[in-house]
Amino acid sequence: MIATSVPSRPPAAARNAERRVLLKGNEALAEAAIQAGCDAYFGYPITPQAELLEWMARRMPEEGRAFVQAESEIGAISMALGAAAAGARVLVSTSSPGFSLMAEGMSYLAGSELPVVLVDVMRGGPGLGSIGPAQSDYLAAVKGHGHGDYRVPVLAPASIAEGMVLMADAFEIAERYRTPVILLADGILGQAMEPVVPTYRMPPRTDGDWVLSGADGRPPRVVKSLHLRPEALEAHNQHLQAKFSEIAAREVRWETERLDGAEIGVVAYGVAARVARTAVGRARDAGLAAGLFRPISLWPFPSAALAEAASRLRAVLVVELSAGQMVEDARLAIEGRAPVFFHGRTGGMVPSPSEVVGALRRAWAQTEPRGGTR
Amino acid sequence: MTVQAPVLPAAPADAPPARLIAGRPRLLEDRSTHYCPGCGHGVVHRLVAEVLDELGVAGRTIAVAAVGCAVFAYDYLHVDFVEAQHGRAPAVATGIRRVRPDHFVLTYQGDGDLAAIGTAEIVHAAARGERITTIFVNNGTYGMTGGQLAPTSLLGQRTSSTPLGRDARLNGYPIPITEMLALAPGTAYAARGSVATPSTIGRTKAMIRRACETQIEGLGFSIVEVLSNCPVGWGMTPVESIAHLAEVAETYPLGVLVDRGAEG
Amino acid sequence: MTLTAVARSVPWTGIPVEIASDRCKGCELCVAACPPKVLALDLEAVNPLGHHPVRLLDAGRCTSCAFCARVCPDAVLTVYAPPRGARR
Repeated sequence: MIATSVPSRPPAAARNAERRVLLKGNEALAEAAIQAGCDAYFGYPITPQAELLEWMARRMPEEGRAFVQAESEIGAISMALGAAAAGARVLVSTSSPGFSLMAEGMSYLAGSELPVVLVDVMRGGPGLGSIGPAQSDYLAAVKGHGHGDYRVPVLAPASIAEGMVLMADAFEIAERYRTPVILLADGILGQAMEPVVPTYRMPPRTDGDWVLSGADGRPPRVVKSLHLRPEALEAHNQHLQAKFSEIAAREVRWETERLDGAEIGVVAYGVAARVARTAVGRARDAGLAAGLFRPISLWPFPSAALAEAASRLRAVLVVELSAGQMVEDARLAIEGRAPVFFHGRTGGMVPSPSEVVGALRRAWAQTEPRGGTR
Repeated sequence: MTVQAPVLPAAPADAPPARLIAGRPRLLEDRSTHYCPGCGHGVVHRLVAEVLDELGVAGRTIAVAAVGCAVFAYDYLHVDFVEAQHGRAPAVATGIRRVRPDHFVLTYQGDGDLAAIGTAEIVHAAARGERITTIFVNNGTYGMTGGQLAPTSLLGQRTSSTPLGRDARLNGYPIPITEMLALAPGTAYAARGSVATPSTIGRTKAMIRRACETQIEGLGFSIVEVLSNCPVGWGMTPVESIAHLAEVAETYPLGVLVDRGAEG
Repeated sequence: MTLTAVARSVPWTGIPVEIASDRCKGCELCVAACPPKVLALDLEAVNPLGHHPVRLLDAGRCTSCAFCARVCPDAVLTVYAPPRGARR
């Protein structure tokens, strides 16, 4: 069951690599995982990602792989823990309330150093909230989510096409570093349909000497996160921190658009970046020298790159579908090099490009060009 | 003063060999355990070690340790282990089972783990007929955390969180979790044994063996609940706590609850 | 009773119970379970764990029933029987 053979050709709708095809975000992410060699999927119905679960329910048995609709998101993350400990390439998906339930599981995955890819299709909160799109799980995701000293790589696609690419990258990062990886999407990305040239990739397998495969002919192995002696747990934490430092040095991703020569930069990720891109274009048309800085890895956050960019900007505007979460990391990275403004919407509301342009104008009006007054 | 380990007296070189009747099972690590003196976990560990060896499945066993006094089971049983979150062992076992169809998968859980925080997971593993075997050690208390009320504590039982004794109106009734699981069509074998006497221990071993065979035969979910003692949690000597198991068995009767393999 | 015990081929010396005293926790479950009552804690001794370990009082009255080994939570007791036909 583990190390499955090359998957069968994906369904007709996604098969033709020569032409663009219309794909729904949730389904595209699911198929990308299957084509990346996902051995097992565990999930629970929750809007707005139920289509991902349903796609897996149909396709995983077709490929002879494991699919379980669990009794809860806690069940799902726990099944993922077991399957990963047994050496499988595992995907879990959920939305924000389910993501909250997975916090303890994430902590165990990190402490036990198990590779699992977890897709969170964010929706409005807090609590039951709404089923509209949001980016209000940012702090939970990038600060590790569960208890204890750890971080989890977080990748944030801004399009369905990018999501499919990042899905394969997520499995690779998870296995290279023995860590859970979060793919942070939102309700728009999950529900939208976009024309895509499907890009699939199956990262190579690496057989770890920690995988539970039965102790026949070798000493038994234990996958655990319990280290009762303080000295032992401190040593384990130091090992984890060294790993996070390595990830921080090697897995930072971001993209800039029209930032060269810009005076004011918009920092946004995911669907907010799509809105910001349009706003930047309209601002430029109106004579405002705006540009876009788009983090793709939210952890490790592209702090150095953002600090460097901010040192040449008169102002930074952070746009999120939240009350302000990534803006905290942006401010930390920028460290006063430029004033930081924020524009956000909550509850499933999506900022419009004209709102963002308005926020850009206000930031412009309240700041001076670099190098003195006009 | 410390005692020397006794040495068997020397015998003539041509002396015929003694017959080995009972001893430490091969799969039980030769080390002292952290369990309290007289704790039934040690007995159940022995039985599991014996059965896994006798069935020849140890080399392909992946076991799931739960959170409780037996969290260190992986230090004592010579098989691959993964540690689960509190209550989630049946789900962790499900994940293993679904990607390792040819392996032998078991969970080892206490009553707080299985019947309080883990109720959803065990019920749904049974409902799915998941081919895993659960060893359920029921000592009617949360031993590891200091002897608090557990879902299987008896009415009237004094615990650290029911100092006046379990009162049905305030603390509810002992939950018949194994009887509930036996109702599920996916449960192929459910039985309740006890560490109370050499006789019940022998019958419990047979139950554990039958449960494991149920998994090997692919019949579905199997569970053996073992009534066990907690001398420290109950405030008794080990010998007193063993005697108390007779009273526990009045609430939780011993026997095979369902054996769909035998029904044919 | 068990086919899986750590196999040791030992000659019959007349002593039916071998006790790993350093592992004993002095719980007395074996003492209570022994039908001929040939086991007792050695109150003169203290093992590295801090317990009085059990000792065999009368090898001659032991029947090798192995109840002691069956109830022992720490697998401290190894029980032997004489070769068939041999005197105890």
